[in-house]
Amino acid sequence: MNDQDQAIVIGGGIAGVSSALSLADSGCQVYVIEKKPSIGGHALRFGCKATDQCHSCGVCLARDKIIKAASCPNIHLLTQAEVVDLQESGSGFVVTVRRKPQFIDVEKCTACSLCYQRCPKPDRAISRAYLSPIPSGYVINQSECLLFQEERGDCDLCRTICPAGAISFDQQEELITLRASAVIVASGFSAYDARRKGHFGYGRLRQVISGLDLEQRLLAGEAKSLVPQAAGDAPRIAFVQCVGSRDPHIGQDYCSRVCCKYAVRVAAKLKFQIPEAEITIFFIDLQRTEREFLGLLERMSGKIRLVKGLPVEIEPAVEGGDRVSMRYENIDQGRMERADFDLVVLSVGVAPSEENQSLAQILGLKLGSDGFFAPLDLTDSTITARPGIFLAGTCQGPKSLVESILHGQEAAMRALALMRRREEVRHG
Amino acid sequence: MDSSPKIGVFLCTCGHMMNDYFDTRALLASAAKEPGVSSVDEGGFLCTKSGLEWLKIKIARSGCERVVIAGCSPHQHELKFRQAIEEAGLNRSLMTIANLREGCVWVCRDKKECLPKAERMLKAAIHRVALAKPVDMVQARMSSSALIIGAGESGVRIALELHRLGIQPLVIDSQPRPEGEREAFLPTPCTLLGTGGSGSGQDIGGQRHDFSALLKELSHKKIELLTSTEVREVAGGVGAFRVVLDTQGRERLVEVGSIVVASGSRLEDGANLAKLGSYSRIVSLGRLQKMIEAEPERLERMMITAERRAKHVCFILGGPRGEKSLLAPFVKRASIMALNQAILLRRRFKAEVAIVASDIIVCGAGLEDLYRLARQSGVLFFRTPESRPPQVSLEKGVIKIRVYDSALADCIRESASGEDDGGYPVLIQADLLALEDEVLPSLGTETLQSILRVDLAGISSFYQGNIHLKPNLSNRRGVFVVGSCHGVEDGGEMLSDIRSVAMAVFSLLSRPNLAVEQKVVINTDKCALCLTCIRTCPHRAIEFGEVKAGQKWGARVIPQACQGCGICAGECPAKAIEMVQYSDDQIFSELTL
Repeated sequence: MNDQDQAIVIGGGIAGVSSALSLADSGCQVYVIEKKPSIGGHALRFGCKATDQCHSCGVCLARDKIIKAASCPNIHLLTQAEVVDLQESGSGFVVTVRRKPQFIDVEKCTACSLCYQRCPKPDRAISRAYLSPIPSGYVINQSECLLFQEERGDCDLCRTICPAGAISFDQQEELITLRASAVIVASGFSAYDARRKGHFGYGRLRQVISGLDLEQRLLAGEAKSLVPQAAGDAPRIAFVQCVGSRDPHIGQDYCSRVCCKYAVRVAAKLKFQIPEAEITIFFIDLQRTEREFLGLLERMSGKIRLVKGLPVEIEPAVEGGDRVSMRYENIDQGRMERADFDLVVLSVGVAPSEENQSLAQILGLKLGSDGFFAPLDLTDSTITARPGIFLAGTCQGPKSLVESILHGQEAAMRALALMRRREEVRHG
Repeated sequence: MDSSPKIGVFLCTCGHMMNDYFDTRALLASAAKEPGVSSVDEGGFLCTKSGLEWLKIKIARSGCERVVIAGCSPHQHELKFRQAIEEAGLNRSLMTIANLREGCVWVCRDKKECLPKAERMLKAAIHRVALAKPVDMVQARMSSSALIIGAGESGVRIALELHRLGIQPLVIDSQPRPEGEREAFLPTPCTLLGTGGSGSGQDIGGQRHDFSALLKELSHKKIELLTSTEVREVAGGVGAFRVVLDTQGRERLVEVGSIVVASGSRLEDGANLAKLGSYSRIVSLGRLQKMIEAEPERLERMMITAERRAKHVCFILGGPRGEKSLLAPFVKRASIMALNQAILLRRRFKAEVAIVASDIIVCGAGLEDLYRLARQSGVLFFRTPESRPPQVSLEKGVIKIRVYDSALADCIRESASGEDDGGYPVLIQADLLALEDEVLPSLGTETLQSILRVDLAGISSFYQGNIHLKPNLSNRRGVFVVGSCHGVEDGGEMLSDIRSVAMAVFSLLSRPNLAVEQKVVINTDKCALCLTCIRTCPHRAIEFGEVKAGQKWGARVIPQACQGCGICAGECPAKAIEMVQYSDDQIFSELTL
């Protein structure tokens, strides 16, 4: 492999990280362009689903890869950055990246947390770069920071107290120009906004949360605080599948592929932590595939209730105190039923990212009718109509964590094969 | 104690944050009293660039031979510190980190507890590093070649992909000629939808590519293919496996950098059908696929019975699965095939088609579209409750399927008020019934597994589902699995699988040498050749051979395969094996302060 080969990966989520690692391992210099202050994406917001045994959710696998990428000498992370222009040049591309001011120099920051503790804003304008320390240290949120607001435009307390002298407010936005032989798009997905399904009451009813909310609570170890711990009355929890998936009315007429496995794994975890809980999963078709998942389903049979049919509406319960009441169609029984729950978890689907449109325009790529990046061929789903630009991960369509890792590797393989071919042509 | 090495202790206060919790001078003063400690110092930011330079200068000036860093967790900056120490002229393993930040300061509720705990932690680290031994880096040669076991579709395709990346593949197969069939039964949903696929032009999902064209490409690229060849023995480790191949009695030794298992799987349609007695109008999905492709006239005749004019075909998905099925039940494959075939039967044969299933599997690229297309083509779906599976009986040459359709029940309930829960009974009369077939591991898989000494994911009943080996790694470094032999169900996914394994193999073998740490040493004088270590090593990193060229035989470690788990050191009855960085002495010295 030619040492001067450079590649750009757009997006530092798990698919992008997996691509970058594969390319870097093969001797390529890789620039990862991440919009957020740190890499890792959705994967770092998920919690381990293990109970007394591993349920193969893959979260730890993602963490390992992200930590490895952050310390890899061939991988250069550009955080808080986005691609603004891409031009073809010779056999490769010239990519222009806009990078927001960082304010905190990651090279100097030791993550001592002093700035965070002393920030005078009640809800803090400084936060840990993410849940994992990559890049280590803290970030300043410009829209929250008092220095950038009119009434208190002179606060620079954090700069004065930082023992490492890592904070500087002099930085400006910069434009960086990079050359690359290949570009891998790994810009990820957005979770479906459950507010759009008003009849489920998400955002209105305290008892209704999304799967991502639940992940955050589980990660913080707050599983037990999710449901009231009243003696005598077992907490009742419902999972509602296909919220924003398999629904032509909202233009998301595809299966999100991950939610059935997700819901059963999380249900198993909740049942393990709150053994008295009564858990029901409402679904259209349960995607019973993969050996581990079938094993888990078998172990959970009798412990969680599976109901074929989705709820029609969720409203505050008239009787039953703090609960919500759900009216749903029980297809197997062939009738409408009603039940009260303490907690309803909406398994929100994998939706295309809102930024796909603008990114596609910059890169000269096409989006499919579903809003994801369209590959040339579904059986070769990393290849785009533009030679040299490849797709990886959920920007191309719903994928699980492990599938995203694989897809990232696959895109890297395609990019490497292209670079090799070009090199062979150069050398005759 | 003059001969003992000089130890330098460097405290990083993490931006003076630690000064708030304890008196750092008192800590360093107590550390300085420990035997062997020649210099102590503190700095604010050892992990920064300037901090690391400071550390290197301090090491050089104090002339210390071993280093203790007291600071944050080794997860944070261990690699940086090891590199700095190496640059300062010391062996990279002569260093220990005392995790005072996460292990002491951040967890002690009472500040008074901090100093005594930090003192004990630092003392343990000093004792530990005093006994540390330098670790040598070994350069392992990586051969850029791969052995591919199985010349089915996945085997041939991965050989071509690896060749494209510059790795020399050798493909072997136990059969006298390569069989594309071994994986051709994996359907591709998207070919039918006209969105492309390498088999475009054909609207049959089961056909991706002309297998003979793949074989032609293989010979065109001069990739060696050995048929009637089996693996007899595998020695060595990643980068340099020594494999003995047996071609009809003739043995041959090859050396390869990596091994890819692509042994595929086979179809068994007996188990499901036997329960109904063999009846020619009951077929498996695999059989039906072949008939649609190759024998359309025969299929046409089978669907026409004398007394009935319309052709009725029924698919039952799910249903009984045999005990011996070691693989994941291929439900997704069955779902894709049934949907594909149902559409074809509607379009080409104008048949009435019903699909009976409890859940329709749509979790794959293009599957939801396929399901919609089937509904639009007029395929009827009966979604039966799991508690009431369909009943099949044969009556005068007609296949009768009794199902309980739950969706119908709601509208008919009023008239059939006495009806039990579980749906409304429907009687389907079919001329042809298609059932799921079983997918089993290829013959010889268990032998192969024992020769390779791996627990192949999904292939065997010993499968442990270790997430860290997912999706394509095995417990033996350098051995990969690809294709339907580890449970890939859909043709498109198999192609993806192949490309990502090719990437993984390439990343592993792209450099001619791999620098690895020697993690374990075996003392040959103590070794009694009991072979316990060879049996217990989960990574197959210990082998029996000449300890050094021309010397006596014994157990030896393959450094690039060793993962440093320490099981062999624990199991060795003669205590001949020692973990270089975790010797018994070091652990005891930490425990007995």
